[in-house]
Amino acid sequence: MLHEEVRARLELLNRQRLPDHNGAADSGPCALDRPHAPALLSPAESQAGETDLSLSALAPGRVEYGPAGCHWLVRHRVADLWHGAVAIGGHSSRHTPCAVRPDDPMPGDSIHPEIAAFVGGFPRDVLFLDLETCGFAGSPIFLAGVVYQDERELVLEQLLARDYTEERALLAALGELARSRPVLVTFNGKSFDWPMVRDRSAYHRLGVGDESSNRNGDGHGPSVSGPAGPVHCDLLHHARRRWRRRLPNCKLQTLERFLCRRLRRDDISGSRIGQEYHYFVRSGDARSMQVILHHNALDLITLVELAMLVSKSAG
Amino acid sequence: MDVARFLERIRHLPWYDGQLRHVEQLPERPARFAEPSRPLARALAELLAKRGIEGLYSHQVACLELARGASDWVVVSGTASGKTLCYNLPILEACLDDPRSRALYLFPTKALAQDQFKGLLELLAPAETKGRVTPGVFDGDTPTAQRRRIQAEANLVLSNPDMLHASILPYHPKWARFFSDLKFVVLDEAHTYRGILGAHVAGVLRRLWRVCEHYGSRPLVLAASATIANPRELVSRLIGRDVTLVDDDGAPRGRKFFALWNPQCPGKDGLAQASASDDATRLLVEALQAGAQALVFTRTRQSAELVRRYAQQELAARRSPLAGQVRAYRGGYLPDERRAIEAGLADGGLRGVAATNALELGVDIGSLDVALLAGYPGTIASTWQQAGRAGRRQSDSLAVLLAGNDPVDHYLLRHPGYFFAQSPEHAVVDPGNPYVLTRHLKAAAFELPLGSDDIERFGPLTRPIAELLHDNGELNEVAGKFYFAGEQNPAVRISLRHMSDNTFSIVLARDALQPGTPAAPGAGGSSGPREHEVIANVDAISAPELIYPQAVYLHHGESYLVRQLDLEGKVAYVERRETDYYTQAVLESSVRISGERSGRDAAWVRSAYGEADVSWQTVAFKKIKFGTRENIGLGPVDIPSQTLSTTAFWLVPSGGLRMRMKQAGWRVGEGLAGLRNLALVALPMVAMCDSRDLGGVVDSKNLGSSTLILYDRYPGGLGYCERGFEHLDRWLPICREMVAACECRDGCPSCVGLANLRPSIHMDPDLSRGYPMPDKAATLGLLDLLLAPLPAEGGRWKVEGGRWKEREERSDGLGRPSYDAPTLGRNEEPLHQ
Repeated sequence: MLHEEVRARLELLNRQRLPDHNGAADSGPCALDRPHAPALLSPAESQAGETDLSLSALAPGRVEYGPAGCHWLVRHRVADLWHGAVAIGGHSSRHTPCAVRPDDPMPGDSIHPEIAAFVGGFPRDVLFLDLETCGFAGSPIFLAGVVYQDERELVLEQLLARDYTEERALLAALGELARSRPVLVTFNGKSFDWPMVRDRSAYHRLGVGDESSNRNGDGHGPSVSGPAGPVHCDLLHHARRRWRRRLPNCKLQTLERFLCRRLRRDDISGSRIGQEYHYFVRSGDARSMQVILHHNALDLITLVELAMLVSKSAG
Repeated sequence: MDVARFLERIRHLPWYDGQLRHVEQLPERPARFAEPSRPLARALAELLAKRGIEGLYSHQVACLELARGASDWVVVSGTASGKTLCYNLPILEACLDDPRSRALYLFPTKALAQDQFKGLLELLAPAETKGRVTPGVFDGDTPTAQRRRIQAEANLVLSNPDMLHASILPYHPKWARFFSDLKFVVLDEAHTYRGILGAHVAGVLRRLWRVCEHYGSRPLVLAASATIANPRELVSRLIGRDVTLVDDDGAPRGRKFFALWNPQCPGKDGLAQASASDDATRLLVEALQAGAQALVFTRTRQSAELVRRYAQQELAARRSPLAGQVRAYRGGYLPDERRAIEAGLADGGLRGVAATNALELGVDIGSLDVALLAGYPGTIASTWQQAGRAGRRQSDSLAVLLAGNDPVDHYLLRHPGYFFAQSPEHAVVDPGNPYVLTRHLKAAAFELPLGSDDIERFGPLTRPIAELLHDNGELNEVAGKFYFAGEQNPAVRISLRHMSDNTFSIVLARDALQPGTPAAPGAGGSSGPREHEVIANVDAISAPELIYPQAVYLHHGESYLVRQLDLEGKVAYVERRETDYYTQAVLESSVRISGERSGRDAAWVRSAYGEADVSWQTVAFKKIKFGTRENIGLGPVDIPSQTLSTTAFWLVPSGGLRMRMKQAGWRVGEGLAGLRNLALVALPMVAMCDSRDLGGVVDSKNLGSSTLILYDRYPGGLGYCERGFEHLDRWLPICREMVAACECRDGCPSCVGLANLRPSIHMDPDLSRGYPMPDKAATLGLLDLLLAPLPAEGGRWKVEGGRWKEREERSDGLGRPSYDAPTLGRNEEPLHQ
């Protein structure tokens, strides 16, 4: 059903309009010979409030320029966010504060080739990825959070589209990062994140993540190609294999709570993320973006920690 | 078949009583062939040769040449005239030339796509082209596992507008390569895209064009339509650019007889169309025994089953082997069953089929000897299309229109010339309907941001609508473009059709008759195997009329008893039971005005626009004995009503008008009923919709006195009746013109009782009853009053010669004809369209 105000305005439009019986029939419906219409609206003006709610104030970062345009970039050292990062620098994790002992291997479990590729490639060849989007398939991506090794330390970067037009640059930059790091680590990325990247890149005609890179999670094409080829290690599947029987479920936040012993406070519900982003685009008010960036960073840290746990217990 | 001899034999049968009223002969027509300017590639020519096609008809070559020259076209040709080859030739030529070329075929139903798929597979079977041209069906039934393969590989993707709208366009990046390589879009059965569906399809196609443009392609449109008055205009409006019409049908046609038949006295208990179906059954049996292959078109699913059952019984009684070669064909049968029947008709294994209009569209069943139309199908175009199912290329064929109970049917009998002279209906489509456009602009914005070039594409309302969606928070504006600001693909919540496409499954519980089984199947008890089998599907709209508890559901001529109707799970559980009766639902429907949005008072009438709830409900059922049609019982039905909440407008005659009408000896309700029928023809011209998109009643329950209520048949309304309210001055004169100019004496289908008085989509036509044509004089008198120039209080008006006249010196000077005083004594009850 239509919104009342929308209906009222549509009624005005509907009543004003009458079929043109004079030859409209022959010229078809699109006899739109009116002078070329201007751009639909003038660009939005951002509102300057008393307290600074802008993105640069609430989520400091910088504008990143590339051939496909620009986007916002927020960068942290992982070690500044998570003390466990110090330990994993050398693969020798002392950090196993788990309620469930993650490191008893399942009987008969051999090392999965994806895990082997991860262990072999970490940290130089590995890219951790977690997306935030406006919804499911067909919706835009506005945030790509990544963790990778830069100059000998792990960094957490958040590529943010300040509006829909910056998605293209975001994807191009993500494609650049993924190209030189053949091991992709995600949580449910075979079903969600990577198909989203592939579709949105096709949308922008960028060719990131197209079929040739074989990272699709749809079961058509191997998820592990040759030794040098790209590998997509989706931790959801590995986590399920290991902990399905011992945990209530294998959602990321459940794993975070039981394995990493962290509880989230003031987190944003995933179902609200899309509408909060649309509100940010419309208003420039970045308060919710601050929360979403935090949420995404937490997801990434847990992703990194899970990868450690999975490879440890597998080994 | 020798039709003249067959008709002669009918005339000598004992039950023949002068039912044949008129036989029109349509002369035979020889084939006209043509040669393409550039010969077909060898591979293609061989494909045709293997199918036994030696030469191309003139219209096929015309289509090929236009497509080669990159012109969009629409072809109009008869049934079985090689229409599919018109679009398949240029497409296959392009695909063989460049295997990357791709085409999107859109059919109005899934069944048609399946049918064409089968045809393409057969055509492409020879080894040489196999693998070079790959067809694939992409619709709601396509398994997920196959979808990616079709996206990636199929050259020819066969689908429907609903699927394109909700599942392809919103996810266009998955189809990026398909859209880049898209060369052709086939729009088959384009005449079905009119009114509401047409406006939606126009929106979907505009969305398709912008997605194609995004990926750098500009596909050619190849359309096919049944005979309507304005195919070129319709397709041009649908696709938003001009097309060339090809209507020079070069296919041969044998001599064709078209007969009008007046069945014997109405069925014993007055059931609708009983007699038309009875005589159709008898004619079917005779035709089959004369060696013909024949189709009966019935107006309802139930009558299709009954005709099949009775014909089979009669043939069995005559010990004819043909008894096993008769079937029914209707909506609700499972796809495999349908395919089998179509194949049986095409290869001649089936001799007789009783079908609903489900067979009217271009499902390929070849052409038959005899088509029997039990009741007027409602439009001239449909009549010709159903009749066109009979039409051998070489020999004679016969179509018989058997009159039903409606006055329209009998008018046609009395005036055969009217039918044969009448041009088929215009198809109206309004791509600029703001309500439809609003929905598609939202969907379009989800697919790609709306920019200034979309004003060209979607029309001048694009900008105001985008702005109002922006103000409502549904679109965000960035750098001069509008982006969708929601989380979910908006298309999934937009239905292209009148109402929901939900379906109910009819499930046969095999053990339902075993003792000790609980009455409610599906409980999943562990006591032995419970075999449940889906035997049919029914759309949600007609489910409460067909499969209420205790209903006898007829399927393939056999009877099933409905044990339970699970409305939430959308399942009806039936058991096989041989009954000696079938059931008919007793339906109650009502229109309730629920709120007025605006109103206007004039001297004679108050008009208003607002919201209305149209509801219908099965309240009881009748048990009808097979054969004798005795009513042998009545049972209650307790299922909730279905409601359509929509917008409506209504006309309430003032007390003064009532008085004037009464003085003239006319019933207000009669005049309003006539006006209702006229409005259903005239208002669509102003509101740009199809008559099917509107419903109307004359009702006195809402406002205490006879009121004409018209409503949009779409949830929430689409602005048609709103325009009716706003522009009374535009369509009332059209109504008056239609009655006044009509040369009939007491009313005819062209004026007060129009051919289109068909039950609405939610009313099983089984239950429709013939009702009298409204009073022409009362209708004209009412219109004269409504259109009178500012009638004053007091006695300026008087009735003279059956119509209104001003007492004073003023005279309209038009010399309008006068009418006899009207007849009275008709019921003023809700008349439902």
